[in-house]
Order: sequence, then structure tokens, then C-alpha cells
Amino acid sequence: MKIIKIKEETFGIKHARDFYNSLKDELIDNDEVVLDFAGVKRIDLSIAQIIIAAGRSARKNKKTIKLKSVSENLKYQMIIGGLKL
Amino acid sequence: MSEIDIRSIFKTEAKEIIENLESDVVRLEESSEDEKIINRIFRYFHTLKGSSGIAGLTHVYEFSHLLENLLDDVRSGHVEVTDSLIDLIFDSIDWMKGAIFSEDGTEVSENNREKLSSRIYAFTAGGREVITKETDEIKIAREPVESGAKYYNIKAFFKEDIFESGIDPLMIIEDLMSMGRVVSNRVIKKKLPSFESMDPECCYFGWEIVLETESAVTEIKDVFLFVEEENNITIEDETSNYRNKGSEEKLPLEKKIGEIMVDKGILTDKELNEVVTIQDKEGDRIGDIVVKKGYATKDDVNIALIEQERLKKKIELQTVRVDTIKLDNLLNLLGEIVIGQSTLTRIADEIDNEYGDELKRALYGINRTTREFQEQIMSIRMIPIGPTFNQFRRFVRDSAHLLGKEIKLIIEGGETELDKTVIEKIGDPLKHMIRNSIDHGIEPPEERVAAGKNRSGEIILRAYHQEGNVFIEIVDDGRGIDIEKVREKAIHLKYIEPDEEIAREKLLSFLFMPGFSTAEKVGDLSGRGVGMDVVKTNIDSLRGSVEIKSEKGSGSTVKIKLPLTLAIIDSMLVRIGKNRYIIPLLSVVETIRPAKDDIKTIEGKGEVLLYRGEFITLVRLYDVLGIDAEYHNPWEALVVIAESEDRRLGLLIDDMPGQQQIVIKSLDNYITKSRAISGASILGDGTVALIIDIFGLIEELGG
Repeated sequence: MKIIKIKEETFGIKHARDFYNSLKDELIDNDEVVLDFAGVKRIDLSIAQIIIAAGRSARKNKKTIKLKSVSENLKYQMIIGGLKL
Repeated sequence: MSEIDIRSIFKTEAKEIIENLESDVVRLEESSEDEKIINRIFRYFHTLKGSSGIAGLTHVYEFSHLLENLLDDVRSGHVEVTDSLIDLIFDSIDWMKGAIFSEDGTEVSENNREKLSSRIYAFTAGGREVITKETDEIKIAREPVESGAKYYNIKAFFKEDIFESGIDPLMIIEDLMSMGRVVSNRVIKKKLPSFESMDPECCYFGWEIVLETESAVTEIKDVFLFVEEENNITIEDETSNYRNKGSEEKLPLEKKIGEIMVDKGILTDKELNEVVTIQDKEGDRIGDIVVKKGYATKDDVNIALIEQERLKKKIELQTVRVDTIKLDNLLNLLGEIVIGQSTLTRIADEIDNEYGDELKRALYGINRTTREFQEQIMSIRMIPIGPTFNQFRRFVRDSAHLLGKEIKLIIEGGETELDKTVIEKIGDPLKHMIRNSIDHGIEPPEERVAAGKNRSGEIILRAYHQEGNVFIEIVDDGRGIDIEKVREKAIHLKYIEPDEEIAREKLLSFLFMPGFSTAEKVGDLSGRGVGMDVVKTNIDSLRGSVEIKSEKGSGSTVKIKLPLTLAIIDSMLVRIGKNRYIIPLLSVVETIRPAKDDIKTIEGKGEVLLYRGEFITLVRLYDVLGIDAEYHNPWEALVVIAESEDRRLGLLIDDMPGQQQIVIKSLDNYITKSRAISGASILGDGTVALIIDIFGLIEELGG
């Protein structure tokens, strides 16, 4: 299992490519990846899209992505962005 | 749309929001439990949050988010409205103003933001300790939706490179959803490629949302203001599909003030009919008549006005935002058309055959259309003065606090409309006079109590239409102006002789002279004798006038008279010798050829004309203007009876070629400094005629 800790309060397009690349790498090496959102106050659509696409890919490959420490505000944004929590 | 465009639109929007915000925070200070005001303030911060995020001002976005939370706690009753909360909100607004309006935001202190954030946290943390959070529930609809709601089907598909412009579609959708209850939300993900082949910096999602909301379609459109041009956004009103027809609620209709008073049981139908009849005869406002007749109190009328305003806001209007420069250009073009028409009319007059008559008939039709066109443009340019008045709420509050005074600002007639150019220019003069009222007029609380007055002073800002003009009054119930001091100062400055008999109004008008101040000490706000002359100059430049009335101990009233519009007016063309001049038709009473016996010379008054039983001053315009005239005997010439503010005079002219609409062009001071000339206009033959300002002429002649 790999835990990716996200440190940015506002996690968005500026970090999207790095986040995508690291998530892609970790999904190759690990069966389970945990995204730790403690301290994150806001994500943007680019991040929501990456998580959804990664979730589809993980399911296809019988792997898991879990979300941890998602605040109420963040949960709200993720639902609007099309994630089911 | 570039980022700079977005910022510029955001700044315009933010300016308007912040003005309303400041005004409402002052109101909240006066009525701390008014839920409507609290909700409005919440929504202002919410809108600022959304728009600043889209405009890429993340520091403003984050800070307004904190304030939105704070107001959310206020409206849920977890944070009480106290003086320190109001101070905090004002300090926060000041920080936001710096962050939004400074050139690059660098003037804004980060340190200050942190301090303010800590103060906000102190409030919200204290308030939230008692909140029982329902963590399982995601609150979709933050606003309660009332029964008059509408249903909109909103489809939003964004272009792939939208992130490059700094816009986050998620934020837009979040903003949209906060406007009501989300009936359904479908995120369209079909364009999303596989994880391995996706570009993480591309936008793939779209939304189809059904929203139940009280908001008008224009407000929904505003959410997409920055993205609607380049993205695929559709908004459809599907209320009829969702609403049960049997229980369909009647849409709100605009109601007249009298009807609202009847609905509220303030007036009976019979009383309403009576006051409407009086209004038809006398032209007064319904509100004033019912108060005069004793059918209702001023408070009753205010309640009905508030209700009327509420209903107006409910009525959905299809509106577009238009850059004011485009409106100015449109008016300038219309001005050119008016000049062109004058040329054609002149040519038609010179053609002495049937073609000339046909041309005149055709021009008559065009003139009528142009006049309607002008009225339409004018109506677009007319905006209510309310927002200008409202922006003084905070100014009065802060200034009163600074001086340890208690002052309530009362606004009346905020719905009165004025040309936008006048509104833009009247702000500074008004501020100066309000400042005078605060600094010199209203007494400290102890002094007021000792004088048998309420501790709290009142400043009334009032606007109303009368006889084709707009009047603005600044009324205070302070100590008033000491007329003896004004007299002493006027003698000291050698404006009058020590034993000279002079009317009270004339004495008070000296207050508008440069360097004239009766203040014993110079205050932080005023008292330097600089300003009132500038106020008068500014108002003169608007073709307006200003006068002061004051009673020692009772207060003062400054009355400003302004024209409804500055651009195109009806006028009378007059000829003196070879020159033509323009007199605004509003100033003209009639034109006469006097009898020889009606012309007299009275000692101390000069040459006068007996007109309808009274002697009025006869002005030989050729003397005043320094030109030659054809006639020097009044009984051979014509006399235009003109008036301004109940003062009449007769103007000697040679001829009156006609009446016409003219486009006013301003004149620089180097052309003429005479107050009798207020501008110029281009006539049909391309020549320029000067406009005679009757008020200025009376002033120049020494009243």
C-alpha cells in the first residue's frame, strides 16, 4: 500500500501533471494507493478528473484507490466533480 | 477572453458589490437582527468569492471564503452582531478593496490579512463550538427556496484548454449550485479518456443540472459571465415542466405603491381613490399625499416602498450589461444626427417649391423618430441615485465615530433617476457637503442633549424630480449656520460694507466664495474654507445650482438643482445683431414686444420692464456680451422673459429664428469665463452658437 500525502491547501491545475505522474507510477507498483487529503481545503476539476480516471483504471486492473481525511468542504467539491464518496 | 479582461470585468463588478456591501453593513449596525440584510451580506461575500476565484485573485478568494463562513455563522445565529464584528467586517472590506483595486495587489499587506484572518477565526471558532454538525449530509442548497421558485435546466460544457485561462469549472458549478436546490446533477464524463492516455491539464467534463431557484435567469447567466462566450452554456427555463399546474403560484407583478398599501390594510380602496385623484391634480407623490392626509405614517409608506422594491426584484428582467463608453458613443452619434437634421431643415427652408415642402414633411417624420430615439437613449442613460447615496452610509458612520458623534443617515428618494454623467460628477460635491454637516453641523451628543435635541443627529439625503429638474437636498438637524458670523466674515473680506443691508440668502451664498469659512477651528474633515467654492464650480459645470438655507440651532439644508440630462435639450434660438445665441427652453416663460411705456428706470434697480404687474430687470444682452445689436429700443426689439429659481428677467433680443433641439458641447475656460455662457452648440449651417445660462447670467449681474 502506498500513501500519497497531499500538502497543498489548494490543490489544482498547477499540481495536476505532477500528481498525475506520481499516481500513474504508484498504480503500477502498488495494489492499493491511498490519497491523504488532510490539510487540503480545495481541489479543482483537473484533480477530480485525474482521481476518477485513475479509479476506473485501478478497478480495471483490480487495484484500489482510497481517499483519506477528506473534509466536508472537499467532499462537497468532489461530489460536484462527479466522484461518489 | 484574456485574464486582463476577466480582471477588468471583475473589478467593475466588485466595485458595485463593495458599495452595496458597505451600505448594508452600516444598516446591519443599525438593525442587527435583520435577516434580510445578513443574507444579502452573505451573498455579497459569496459572489466576491466566486468571481475573485475566476479572476485568479486567489488571496481575495480565500479571504472572502473566510468572510462567507463568518456571515454563515451570523445568519445561523452562532455569531452575534456586535460592534467588534462590524469593525472586523469593515476592516476586512478595506483589505479587500486594497487587494482588488491596487494596480497589482502589491499594496496589500499579507501581514494584515493574517491578522484579519485570525480575528475572523476567533469569531467563527467561538461560534462553532456549539454547532452540531451533520457530517453525513452534504448540504447542496444553502439558500432556502421559496414557493415562487423557477426551474432551470443548465447545460455547461467547457473547452478543453479552459484551465489555461485560470478558470476552474468546478468553482463555477459550485457557485451555480449555491443559488438554489439542485434537483438533479449529471456530470457528463463521456469525453474522459483512459487514465493512461489522458492529458491531466485538459478539461473533459460537462454538467447537466436542474436547479430550483428564486434567482432570475440574468443572475444564473452572471455565474457564467466570464466563460459564456467561448464555452457551450445553455440555460432553459423548465418551470412549466416541473410545477404542478394546479398549485401554480401567480408570478409576482409590479405593483403600485397605493395597491401595496391597500393590500397591507394601510389604506382603504376609497382612500386610495381619493389620493390618486389628488395626485392626478397636483402631481405630488402618493406617499406624501397619504401622510399629509393622515391616512398613514411615514413608516407605513416606507414599509410599502420596501415591499414594492422586493416585488420589483422578483420580476425577471432580460437585461444585458453594456459598457458605458458605448452608450456615450451612441449619444454622440445621435448628436451628429440632430446636427445633420438641422442642416437639412435649413436647406428645406431655402427650397421654395414643392420639393422643399416634401423634404419638410419627410424631415418632420424623421424628427419625430429621432426624438423618440433620443428619449430611449436617455432612458438607458438614466440611473437611480440610490447607490450614490448609499455609498455615504459608511462615510457618515466612520466620520461620526472619528469625531465622537452619533449620526444617522436617512436616504429618501433613492429611486430618483439622473443622467449617468451627472451621477458620476455629483459624488464629490455631495461628499463635501455631507462632511461639512458632520464636522460643523451636527453637535456632539452632550451638546445636543443640553439643547433639548436627541443625542443622535440626523442627516437626510433626499432626491426628487420637479419641473424637469432633479433636486438633491442635504438636510441636517445640527446647530445651523451663525448668520452673524457669515456677515462679519463677509465684511472682513470686503464683500459687503459694514452697514450694508443684505438679504439672508445672499449672505449665505458667500459661503461658496473661495476661502470663506466661519469655522473656528480647522477639523480633520473640513473648515479650511476650501471646498465649497469647488462644490459650486462642480455643480455649475453640471448646469446646476446650489443654495443654502439655515436656522441657527435648527440645522441647515443645502439644495442642489440639476438638469435631468446634460446632452441634448430643447432650446430657443435668438439673434442679436449678426450673432445667434441659444436659450434653454426650460428657462423661457414667453417672448413679448413691450410697449414703450412699460420700460422704466428705477434708482438702485436700473432699467426695468413692467411685466404682468411687476417690474423685472431688463437686460440688454448686447451690452453684457459686448456685441452690436440691430435694435436698441426695447419697443422695437423683442424681449424674452426668462426665469431661474423664481427670479425673472427680460432679455433684449433682435429676433427669434425658432426653436430646436440642440446638442450641448462644453466650452473650455479659455474661450469664456463668463458664467452667463454655459456651453455651445453646432447649428444646422455648421456655425457655433453659445448657450446663455439664465441662472449664471443672474449671478453675473449680481443677483
